[in-house]
Amino acid sequence: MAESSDRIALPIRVHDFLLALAGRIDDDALTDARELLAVAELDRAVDLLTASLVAGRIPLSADERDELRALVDAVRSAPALVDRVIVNDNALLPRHRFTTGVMDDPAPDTGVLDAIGRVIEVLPDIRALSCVWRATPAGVPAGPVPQRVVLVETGPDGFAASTAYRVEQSLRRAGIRASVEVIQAGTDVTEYHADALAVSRRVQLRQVSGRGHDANGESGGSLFTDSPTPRTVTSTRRRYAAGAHAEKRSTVDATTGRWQPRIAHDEPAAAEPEPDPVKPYEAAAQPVAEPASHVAVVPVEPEPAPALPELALPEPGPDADLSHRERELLRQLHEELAKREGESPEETGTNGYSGHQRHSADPTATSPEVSAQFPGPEFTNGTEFDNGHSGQFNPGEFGGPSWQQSAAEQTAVNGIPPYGGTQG
Amino acid sequence: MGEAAELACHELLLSLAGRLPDRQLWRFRDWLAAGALSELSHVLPLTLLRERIGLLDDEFRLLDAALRPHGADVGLLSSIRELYELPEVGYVFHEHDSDNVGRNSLGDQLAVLLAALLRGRPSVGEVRATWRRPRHPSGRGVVEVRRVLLVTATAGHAALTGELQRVQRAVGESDPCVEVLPVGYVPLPYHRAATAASELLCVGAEDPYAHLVGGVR
Repeated sequence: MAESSDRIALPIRVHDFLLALAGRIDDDALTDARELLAVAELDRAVDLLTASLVAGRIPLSADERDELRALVDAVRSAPALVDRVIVNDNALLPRHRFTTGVMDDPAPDTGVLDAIGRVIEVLPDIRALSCVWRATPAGVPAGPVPQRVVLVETGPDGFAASTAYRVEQSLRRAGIRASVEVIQAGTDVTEYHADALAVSRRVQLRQVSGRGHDANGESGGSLFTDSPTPRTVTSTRRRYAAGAHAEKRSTVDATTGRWQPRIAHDEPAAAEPEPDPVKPYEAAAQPVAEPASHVAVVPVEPEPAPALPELALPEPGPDADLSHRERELLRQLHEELAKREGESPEETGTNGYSGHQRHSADPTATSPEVSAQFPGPEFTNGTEFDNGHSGQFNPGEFGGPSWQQSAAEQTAVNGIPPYGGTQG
Repeated sequence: MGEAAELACHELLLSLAGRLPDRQLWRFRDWLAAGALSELSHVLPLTLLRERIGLLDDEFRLLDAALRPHGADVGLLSSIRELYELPEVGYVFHEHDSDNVGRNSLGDQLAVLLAALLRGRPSVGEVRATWRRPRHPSGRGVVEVRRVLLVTATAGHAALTGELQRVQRAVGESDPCVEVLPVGYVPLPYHRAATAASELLCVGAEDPYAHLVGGVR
């Protein structure tokens, strides 16, 4: 707990601790502590909390006591005071009853919007507002009931402590006594707040603000509607998408602008699943898993078929740059040329040349080993391979076996592996 | 030492009536009633310093007797400034709420409640009430008129204060003003003015011996 809390700003920790105590200490103590917190008197806020807990004999759990002790240490208050707080992990939390109307009480949101309209226009990232009556007393020197509770949801750009203070002050000036609970979207909600939210009456903020807090479309994921918060969902997806995007960009060769095949030097062939000799393309034709949508985010263009003279066949280095499809095309080319020239591929040299020189010597040269790596698939007719790259290699021009490339194959050819296939 | 410290603290908090904001004063008195002198020893000096509230010599003696035994920081106590005379009482008192004709001490639910609790009760003398309003209203917002309870008692002053405060809060007074004066207590100008404009609500078992100084029966 301490480890994670070290990364959270102290005022937020105090605010969260106050949220945890809502309904357990009296509303005025909470309000006063929030005011002290908002005006940067954290030590007084923590002292007020501690003394209220001791005087009211309000038990904390051991974890809560530890957090309180950490807060007391952080504000350099007197740690000895915490020792007098009652610790009881088995103590039952007080249950509260919430309602939108007790007897002749007015609606819980009566007058609230008029009182805080200006404030919520000024304060940042207020997403939702709800009001409810609490019919049960809270704390030991309890105030009268019913107690109005105003629940405010802020986004990540909001300041919970300031919002609680400013909203409460505005209500008080208008003669409205209320507890103001500010919950940041994406944080856990206590049982107290969940019970309150379940009954509360939602107030449409757009009625007050011309720019419309609710109209920004973010209220759909509000805590106040029991749906996932937008911050949690969007931030996670954005992080993931950014990561995927970065990963894809990393595969682009800066010099050529081409996707580097996943079977390049730094990724041994073992990382690529070996095709099943019986069903060589079945694996590639497997439906791409859900994250493929992230792959699709990256613009993927079919890699142009390499010009024949630049193909490097036997040498391990250049050969490793060839994609599966390229190898297949080469193999077909060799077979076709062999037929035409009445020459067996096995008689062709396999090593010792590269580039144009190699091509001029024997452009069809390949080795039985290379051929053996690509068991012959049954190609079907297809002309999609051309992709507008006329003048480049096209198996159809040689009268060889035409074939049709599935979407899955194309993905593999373009050097984009199935999701997770080349992660390590 | 415990009772002496508690009584000293109670008298100190009495002397701060009208000088410390009600919202803080009632809570400090509640803590004292709950026996939280250690917490008070830490918080009260800090509050006096932050609110720039000075003390008379007699009040320093009370502060020392009440809080030093419970761990008050002597350095902080030394920083509290001295007063040579009390400032003018910032409030005026009336027997009735002058802004609300129908609102009086004898005619509401709290009066009934207090009578049920305190009439004939041991260690309780007189129970009186008065209405307080600021002498110099700020001119902004509503002028706050508060009911002030004045009770004489021979024992259990802090506990009685706490109890009456909680009763008042339960019926809607968020920052109750309850002054439980020990028998023989020499009242400060605040209490003298309040008592002079008060109305008797009921009497406890100690009535013949616990009349308010300067009170009007």
